[in-house]
Amino acid sequence: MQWVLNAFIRYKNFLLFLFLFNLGLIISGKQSDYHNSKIAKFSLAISGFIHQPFEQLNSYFNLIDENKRLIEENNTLKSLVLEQFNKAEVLSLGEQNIAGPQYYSLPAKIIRNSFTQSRNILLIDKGSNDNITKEMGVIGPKGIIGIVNQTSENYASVLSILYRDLKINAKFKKSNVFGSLFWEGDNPNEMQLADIANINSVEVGDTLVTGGMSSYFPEGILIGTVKSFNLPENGGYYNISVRLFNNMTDLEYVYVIGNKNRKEIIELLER
Amino acid sequence: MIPYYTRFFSIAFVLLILQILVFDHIHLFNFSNPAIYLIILITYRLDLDQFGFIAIGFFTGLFLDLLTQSPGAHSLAGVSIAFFRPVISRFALGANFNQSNALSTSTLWSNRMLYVFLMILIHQFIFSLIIYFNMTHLWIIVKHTLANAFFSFVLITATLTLFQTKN
Repeated sequence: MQWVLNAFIRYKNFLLFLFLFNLGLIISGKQSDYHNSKIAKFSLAISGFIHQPFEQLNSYFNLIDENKRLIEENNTLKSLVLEQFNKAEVLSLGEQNIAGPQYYSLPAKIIRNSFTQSRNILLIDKGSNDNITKEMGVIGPKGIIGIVNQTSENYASVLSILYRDLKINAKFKKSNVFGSLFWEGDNPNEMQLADIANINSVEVGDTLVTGGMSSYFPEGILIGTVKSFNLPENGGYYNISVRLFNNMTDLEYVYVIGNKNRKEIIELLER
Repeated sequence: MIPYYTRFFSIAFVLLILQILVFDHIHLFNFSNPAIYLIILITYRLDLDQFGFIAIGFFTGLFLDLLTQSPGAHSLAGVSIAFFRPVISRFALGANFNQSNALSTSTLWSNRMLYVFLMILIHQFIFSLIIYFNMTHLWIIVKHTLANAFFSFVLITATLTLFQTKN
């Protein structure tokens, strides 16, 4: 406290000058509109100059909250998209959707991601407490990610699509030709599409989407594009390389897709 | 000390009234307007506390601002010149910067004139700067500053010489 007082006494002349100078500026503003507008303009510029770095710093510290808010918003949008899928499906069947939307989404954050092994598993921060159950589909911002394998109360493990034994039902967006997508364990951005017969036309750049033949994913979720293909001699099926839309090595937030009718579908299949 | 302040404030009051009633109505070449009241700030004793002097500089200007509807230019120029006077006196008066009377005959005439001129010039520059308040008019600000400073300098030195001779 003493040093504050000492500093005040030491710089009293300067402080008085500053005080009176500001008082003069205020009087200036009161006396003349022209001066008032000029002072206001100047103080606005100074204020902007001072506040900008603080605002940037503040927004940096708010990034976590902002991310959460965006995830919530994204989830709402994803749900709307899924609702559109349902409606399109219902329209094509010419039936009424009595049970309401079939698919719904839940946001989650990836807390561990391996992509260097031949069987990769992701860990997400949502579990059975958040209504996550086994065999739910998981999608990212640009397409499919994997399928929920195990759940604990607060966490769930997800079989990545970069899992050697996993086969995903996929189809060409342009022609509805179905095939099986699998990973050979090499490049994390590339997968293989099998079971496409040579009677179908395939071109580099063709888009692949989920087929909707399984109950994991709704139909039409993006997967990737055809990178290259060849037709083996004496073979009836193409070897197709697919470049994924999602960068599987750089994932942070995902959406777990729930299917309300899944239990019913499984029961029916088991009969 | 009290008789000094009584005399000082009496002279200050007279000068301010003269400034408002007489000198503010003089417009040399329709351009230049003398600031005779600067005698108050020029002759205030150098050895007294600057804290009080800054307040005097401000309130002298404020008095004029309020009576001439000026946009705070006198107050701002007054408080600035009062704050910067130690620098000006050190520069102009040299070794005699801290003696009680800035215009003592013990100081060289040229130094005294330099001190008076710098006080007027800097005051007038700040005054014009506040009046125009726009740096795009810098050339007009400089012209006004120089014209007012020369005219005020002539009148102030004449007044000071006149009263000094009488003393």
